[in-house]
Amino acid sequence: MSRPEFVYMSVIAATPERVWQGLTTAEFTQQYWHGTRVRSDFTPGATIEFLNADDSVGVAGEILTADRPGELSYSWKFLRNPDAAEDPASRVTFRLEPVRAGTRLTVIHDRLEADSTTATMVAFGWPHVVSGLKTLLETGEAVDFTAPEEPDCPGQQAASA
Amino acid sequence: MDATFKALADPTRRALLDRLLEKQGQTLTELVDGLGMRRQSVAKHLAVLETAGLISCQRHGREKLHYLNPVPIAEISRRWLDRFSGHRATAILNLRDALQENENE
Repeated sequence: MSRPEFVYMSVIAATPERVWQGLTTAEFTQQYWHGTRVRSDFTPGATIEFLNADDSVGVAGEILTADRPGELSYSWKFLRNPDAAEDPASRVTFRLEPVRAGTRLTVIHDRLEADSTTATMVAFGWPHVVSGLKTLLETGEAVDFTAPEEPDCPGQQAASA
Repeated sequence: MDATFKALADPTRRALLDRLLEKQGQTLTELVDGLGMRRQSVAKHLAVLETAGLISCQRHGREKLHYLNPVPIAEISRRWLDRFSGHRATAILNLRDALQENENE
């Protein structure tokens, strides 16, 4: 086995069961996972999809391991980006270990081609997704995906010009 | 968050993170190579970064591999940038309602 390409880690003040729910429930994922809703029955061999607000499929894969609440893995293909959609399927694995402070969540993304579009998107995306999940579970705050309102000052300048 | 800032407040440790950004999954030996520092002091810096959660580790056979883990930096960004629009959802309440609805189905 080759060295895994990306390993992300976060200690979340919540039980593994709750972190598992956060990863596998659309009500949770749409609040921190780029606004997408996860859809799967989380049994090995089942499909998994992440749906955008317009119901288009952003990411698709197949469940490889579903050992609730300890380990979840599935294959991963970005469909929302035409370049990444041509990359071979990669794999993501979530490990949930109980620790004194809650759960140590480790996210391993491997089977990537070096410098592929998928690898770039993965490197950019996971830190936000993992920290978004942590914030949501610990504070109840969702990530705001709506575009910020026009800031006052530049707008006023434009209006008076 | 104190640990994150403390760990980042050192040029050697930032250089180590830069090297992991260039190539993920390096061993201590690989990281020492070309740094011009003693193995022991690199190990010490890595331990500070690991404690702060800025590095994640993975066993690979007999090797210990180090990865850049920018999750704590994303948390800093979330705190001062993502809340810029001031929108706060009553997410947990909505969530609890949604989950209870599912259970009742």
